[in-house]
Amino acid sequence: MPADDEIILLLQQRNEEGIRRIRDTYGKLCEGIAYRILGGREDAEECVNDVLLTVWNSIPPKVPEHLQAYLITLAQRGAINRLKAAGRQKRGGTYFAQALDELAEVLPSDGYVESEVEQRELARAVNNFLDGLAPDVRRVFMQRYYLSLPLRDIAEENGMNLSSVKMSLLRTRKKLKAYLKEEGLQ
Amino acid sequence: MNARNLMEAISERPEEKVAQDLLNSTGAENRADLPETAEFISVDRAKTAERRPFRLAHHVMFAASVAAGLALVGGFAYLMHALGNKPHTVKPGASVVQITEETATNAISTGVIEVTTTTTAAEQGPASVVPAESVMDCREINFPVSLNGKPVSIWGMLDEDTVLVGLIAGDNTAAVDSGTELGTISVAGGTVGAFQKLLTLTDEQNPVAGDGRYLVIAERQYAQDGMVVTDCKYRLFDIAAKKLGDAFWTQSKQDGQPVGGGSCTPPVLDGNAVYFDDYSISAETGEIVTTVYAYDIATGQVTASYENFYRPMLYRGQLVASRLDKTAGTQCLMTVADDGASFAMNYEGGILHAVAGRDGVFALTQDTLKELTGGRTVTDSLDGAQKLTVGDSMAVWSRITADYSTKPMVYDIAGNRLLSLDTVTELPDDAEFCGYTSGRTALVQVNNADRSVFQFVLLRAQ
Repeated sequence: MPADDEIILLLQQRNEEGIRRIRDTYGKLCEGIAYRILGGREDAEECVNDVLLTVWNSIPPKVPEHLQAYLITLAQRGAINRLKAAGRQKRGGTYFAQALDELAEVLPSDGYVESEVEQRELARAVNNFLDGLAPDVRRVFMQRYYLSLPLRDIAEENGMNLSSVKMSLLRTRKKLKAYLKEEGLQ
Repeated sequence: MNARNLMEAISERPEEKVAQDLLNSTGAENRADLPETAEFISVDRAKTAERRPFRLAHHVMFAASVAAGLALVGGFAYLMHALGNKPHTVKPGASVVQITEETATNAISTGVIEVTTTTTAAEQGPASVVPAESVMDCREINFPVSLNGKPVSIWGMLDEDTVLVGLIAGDNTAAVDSGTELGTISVAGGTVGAFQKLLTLTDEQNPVAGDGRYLVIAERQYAQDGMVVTDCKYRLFDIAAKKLGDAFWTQSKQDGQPVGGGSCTPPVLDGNAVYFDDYSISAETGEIVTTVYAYDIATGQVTASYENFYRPMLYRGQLVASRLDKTAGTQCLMTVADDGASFAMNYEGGILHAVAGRDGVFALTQDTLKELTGGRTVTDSLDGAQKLTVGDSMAVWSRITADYSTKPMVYDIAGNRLLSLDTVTELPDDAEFCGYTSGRTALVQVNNADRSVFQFVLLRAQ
């Protein structure tokens, strides 16, 4: 992706134009991700600013292989961290909250586990599980539970109808539940 | 472990796999140099503190605000989802105003939108909805004010860089004074003012308050690197003169150094002053000190008015502000800034929005709407409620239903009853929502997803 390469080159030269181009090109994408998780525009803007600052501080030395994915990752994690920092486990009305509700079927416990070891083990298992899914099924799952996209957007982007999206997610959640049980994580 | 753990586990999926999953890319393995989630917080915060102290203060301030249950009211109503242009059925009793691209474009060129109105009769069929590319968006501006002795709310719409401001008058008001520049459009059950192009804004400018005379425009300043907001200044726009005034702000201090001006929270226009909050950080303790400042419109001077207060609002015509009760932790004391003894109340935890209306302070929690001043729960059956707006006698908010559609809700404060717009209109799924209320009239805007059609449903409490 030449445009991204150019941006990375600008950043490596410590040229602020690189940040401006990221804002112009990917700012809305990152803000959308953050907004869906946080549910507030100002929060989302703050999150985007954090992403840009992290990019500025990390490139160089980092050279992301895929700039857009790097930004998505930073925005998503940044928004979730911000949510955690603010102590809002669930904020009504956001797509993130809806997605969280759906995931409660998989791990219905009320208890949030702080243990890093257990969290890492869960992340490993989820990662393995996702690797085993068909690409189109995985894409739908990630769009819903990573990007917190509305169901209608997912349907449209994948050329599916709403019912198919819901059904796909339901099946994947059930599979994930069974998988985590096998792994002793439920 | 619960769903939050699971969501966090999903969020830890490696970047190159995210690229494959979502972007159909085959990025190379470079997980090693991606910050871990835990590090992300500490490293980022540390760098933030080093490079932009104001931002750290803002983060802390934000957390404090949330802890106090004072989530920001306002901001854009974002629409992140797609929908078809399906017409929706308007049931008897609703008045509908439609704005399409043609009228919007006309407004931008001439300054006036010619709005067509439809008052539905009993059993009337679907409203005629004309899909069109629209350039308009909705900004939540809801300032119940008096104009020429009549209660009105001023509210705004914008295209990409233009604010159009309209007025909605109170119930049974024949018209906003015809002598005003804004003119009127009569709609059964109320009066909606015409739109008028007022000013063109830059990306950094956003209208955040106003009354019949002025709009307050917040102007965010970015650092030289162009990527972070370092401070915020305000400008006063004189509606009659159509003139944007000089910027005003205050300089907070950290370690004796200015760290920006203004938190950019909505200020309050009261008399001949604009009240806004700002904060500074103690060099010794790192403690945040908040202050409500006053900008004197006549002299252009900014003075510190109320120390240890923030988030100014108007309640019963009086300036009130919030104060973090440090001994009670997350509780927040709201006090009339001039006279602490006259009115004080505790915010409970879990409040998403707290809004002062003319006769009460209302708050949304996850599932309840409360009148804090009266100590009563208005309703305890909310589901995903958000975006509370309180007018003279009506409260409007939206909720997300179980099937993920957005429903505007209206509460008639005086009549102590809920008026659900479900009863008058079948809104499209995931409709965008902005609510305005004045007098006993509530105005609800619904858009379809691509913003090609805007409809305003006017609802009056009988």
